[in-house]
Amino acid sequence: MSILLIVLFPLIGFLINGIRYIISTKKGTKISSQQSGMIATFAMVLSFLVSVYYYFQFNGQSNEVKLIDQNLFSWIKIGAFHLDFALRLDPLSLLFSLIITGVGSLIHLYSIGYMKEDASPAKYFSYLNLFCFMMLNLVLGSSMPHVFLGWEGVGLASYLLIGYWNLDVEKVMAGQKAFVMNRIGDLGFLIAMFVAYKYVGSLDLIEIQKSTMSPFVVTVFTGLVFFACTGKSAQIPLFTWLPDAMAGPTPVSALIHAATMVTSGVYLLNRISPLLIQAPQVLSVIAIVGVTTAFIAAIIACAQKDIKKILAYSTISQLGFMFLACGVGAFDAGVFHVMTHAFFKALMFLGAGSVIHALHEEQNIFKMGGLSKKLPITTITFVVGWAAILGIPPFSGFFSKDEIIIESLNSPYGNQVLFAMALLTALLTAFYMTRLLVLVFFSPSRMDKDVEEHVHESPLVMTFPLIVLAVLSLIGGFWHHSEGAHENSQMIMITSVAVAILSAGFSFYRYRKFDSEEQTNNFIENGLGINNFYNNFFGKGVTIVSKGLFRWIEAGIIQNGLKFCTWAVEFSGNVLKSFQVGSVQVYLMMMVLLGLSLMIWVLQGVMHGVLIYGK
Amino acid sequence: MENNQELTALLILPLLGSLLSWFIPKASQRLYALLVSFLQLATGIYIASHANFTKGGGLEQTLPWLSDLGIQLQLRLDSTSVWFVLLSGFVSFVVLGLKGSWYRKQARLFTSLSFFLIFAMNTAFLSTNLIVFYLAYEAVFIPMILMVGIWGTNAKATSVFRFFLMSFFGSILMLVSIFYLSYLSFLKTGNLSTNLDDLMKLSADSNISLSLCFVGFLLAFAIKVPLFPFHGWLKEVYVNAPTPATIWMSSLLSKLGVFGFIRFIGPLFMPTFVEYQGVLLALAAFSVIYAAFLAIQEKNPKSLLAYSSISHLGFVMLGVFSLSDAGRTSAIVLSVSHGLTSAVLFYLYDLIEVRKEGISMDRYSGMARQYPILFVCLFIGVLASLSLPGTFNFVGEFLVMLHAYPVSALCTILSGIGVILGSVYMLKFYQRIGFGKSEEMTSTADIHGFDLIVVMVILAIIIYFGFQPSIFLGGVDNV
Repeated sequence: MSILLIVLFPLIGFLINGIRYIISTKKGTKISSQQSGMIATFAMVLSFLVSVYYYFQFNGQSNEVKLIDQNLFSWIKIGAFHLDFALRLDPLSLLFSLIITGVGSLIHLYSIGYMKEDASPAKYFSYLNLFCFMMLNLVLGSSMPHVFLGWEGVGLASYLLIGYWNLDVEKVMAGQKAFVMNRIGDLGFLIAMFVAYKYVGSLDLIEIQKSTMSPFVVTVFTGLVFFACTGKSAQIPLFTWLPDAMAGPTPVSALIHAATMVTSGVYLLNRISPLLIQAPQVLSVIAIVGVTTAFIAAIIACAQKDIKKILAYSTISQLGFMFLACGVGAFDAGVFHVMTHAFFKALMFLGAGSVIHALHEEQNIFKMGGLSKKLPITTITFVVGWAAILGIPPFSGFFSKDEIIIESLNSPYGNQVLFAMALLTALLTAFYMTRLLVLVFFSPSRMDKDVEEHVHESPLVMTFPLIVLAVLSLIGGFWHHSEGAHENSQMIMITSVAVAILSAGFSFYRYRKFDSEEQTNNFIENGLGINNFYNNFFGKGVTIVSKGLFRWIEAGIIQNGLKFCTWAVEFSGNVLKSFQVGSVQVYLMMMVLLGLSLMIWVLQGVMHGVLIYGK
Repeated sequence: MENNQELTALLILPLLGSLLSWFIPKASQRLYALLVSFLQLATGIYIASHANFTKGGGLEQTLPWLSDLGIQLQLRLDSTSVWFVLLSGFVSFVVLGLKGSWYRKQARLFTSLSFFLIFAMNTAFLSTNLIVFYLAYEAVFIPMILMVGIWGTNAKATSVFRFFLMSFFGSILMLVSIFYLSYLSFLKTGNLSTNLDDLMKLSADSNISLSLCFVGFLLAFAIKVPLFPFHGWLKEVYVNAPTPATIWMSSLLSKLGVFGFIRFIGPLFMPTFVEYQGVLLALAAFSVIYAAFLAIQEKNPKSLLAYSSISHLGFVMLGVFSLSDAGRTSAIVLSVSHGLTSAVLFYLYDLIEVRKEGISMDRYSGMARQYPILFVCLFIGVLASLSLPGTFNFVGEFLVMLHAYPVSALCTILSGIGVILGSVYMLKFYQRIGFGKSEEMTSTADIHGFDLIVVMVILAIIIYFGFQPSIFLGGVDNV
């Protein structure tokens, strides 16, 4: 057995389906969703089984043994710089691998049903496998460039899948937005690597962890890594791409934009946690950014009408919780929440997919309602997910969320403000999730008649993953033993559960008989204007700068300068010709030479001036 | 340095190819060109594989020619020039396989000019004599200008004239500088020499006249690369040139400038080079961002690619200007990867243009549905251009930035903005051509045959070296 197998199976799946897609376009044949879906799912299941094997290998071992290095080949070697392409498995990467391959398998399976009508399922499944391959590289890579390979690779897969229906220009643009915003964060990652190499002399993650850098360098390094994480994990200031990313097929939203890719920031912060502890300023920034993101996203979620947008903002909000956990030094709690969130959020996204599927692409929750009778399995499983995200005991979310809320107060890095914000966010979460649940499943139907007639429960291939995820959302919390034996923790626990239940009750009361569309605040619905601000400021800014540069410098100075030179040469040639003295070419040459020597002389002076000024 | 009598083969072969093309029937010109260029590539690989390039080693050959004037035909294949020579062989093979008007109209002339171009280029890459280098450097223009003039499109006259004027401007300064250096060498040693190894000894005593010569060389090569603000000629020529000429310019001619910096400016003027390092690094970083911004607002896809080329060459220059062995090697790696990528992008764009006329960045053309394989290839090319990890370009760009960072953190970070902007314009390029609803459907077939094989080979090379670049990195001795 080798850890290479974990990443190898999705790669093989990607290649098989990719080649099948290309051959099918060449021959003009159609591939069934079952066939390609089975190949892709099978690849993921195999990869999952290998991960499970290592789970049992690690089980009961001491911590020193729980580390497997596998050097695949020498990647880049230049002078003193040597980089191996190597995989590394430790408890952290194992947990992420289990989530990626486990939840991934279920979502692949679900996709077989969801993408049944799609024109090119082989392409879809090859992208999905490519994503998993890259994501596994991200968590299993032993060095920063290897992690970066996965980091950029998942961004690429995300781009391809968001804009999967590429006839629709808007969806394509959503993909591009995600890619570009992620790249802004990636610049942080790149520079972090350069800093690490300059001061540590290595890019291996363990060596970076162990290194002794000066406090300033540690702060810069961890700050840059954190900036990279805000891109991938949709935190302030780089979060606006995630709601747009909902343009992709719903299983993609469940896998990439809820369960796995967006949590890679939490993974990375955990990887460098020994360094983060040395940089308290960065930690507090992470905590503040996390809790603010959680709070703002929760507010925006309350005013959304699109079922996927609500879940997207909810994801941003929950990711904020995970960052809060990291920011108060409770890294384990953050990872724990990654796991439970992967279960219940994937569950809810797939549930939403089941609803959208049944309603023929309707996504507005005010055009749903009363679906509990027609979609019983979807409803029951969704209720489990709802209970989990609210943090109702004994559902999984209760354990992970409460640990974070407790730590936000009790941890040495925590304080009352963080705690209050977290509690407030929990309250809002209960409100908007109950609103969603009630409006979709329990309130009176607001569907169009012809849509209502065709509503039917999804096939087994889609409901089976829902059931499994529901079970996991129910019991997932027991996999973690927290030793939070503070005196006040029981109090906090009771408070947060009470807050959630009260808020949910209010929401239920408010929406249970809704029969029209709610008048939501436009400003909140549009994401507090942040998205518009970015569009106006950065989007238009780039256009203005590029047009300005073209107009004033490129066309104005450079092209006109060239035109002038051409004209001058032609003119002097004509003048010389009119004098009829000797060979024109000779004079021309002399003119040019003279002019040039003059220019060099001037340039030399200018450059010297610059140099002296520079010193 | 090993003496080797085979190096001239790299010059004689294209020269013969250029002459013999006149005796080949017009219909078989393409086949003939492919054959000769393949032979040329194979010879290059054969010679290179028999040399040991580690620790400054390589092959050398001296042929007497005007020895009385201190001019000898001295050829040197070392860890710097070998990659450029091989790139020239490979790219030429690719270019000559591309079908187009150049094989219909005056095909013999085209083949002949092409091989003359390769001959001149190889001479420039191999020669260590500055006069010979200069002659070859100038000779490259002749076929280039003729190609744009004969097979180019509309506004070619002005663009050619500007191209000529600017390049002439640069190279005449270089010629003056070469003469002056040789005069200095005469004063010092009593021998009139234009050989690199002899002139290198001058760099020890830095004086003002030497830094004047430095500026002469600098301008010549900066125009060729091109580096901001000497890039004015580039866009019009790229757009108006026939695709083979465009590929030659972006993949190889620009590298002639890069090569000049590494081969001549570094050894000849190191003290002055160090003095100006800060300004030059800033120029390189500014080139990256400036060209990226211009690419964003560009409507013509070919101009967009032209600006993207300038932007990437800014990265190459960043590596060169970090003035370390590792930085230089990284710059060579990025040069080769950029040469391959821009060749494949212009090649594919030519295939796209054949299939649909009047493509603009203003609207969506929706061609991906119709030509899925072509667009899969184009997408991989775009990813390489974005330097995504796993591509050869990533190795180059990453190493360049890694080694530039300790020299100038600010310039590295600034050029990093070019990475972000790159994703804006390259994705725009791909999406506008490929996505959206297509207006009309033509019946032209998807990419196939020779085109498909060539493109797939280049893409495979780009990905392979993305994971196994070690063969390129031997130029720096491992510590």
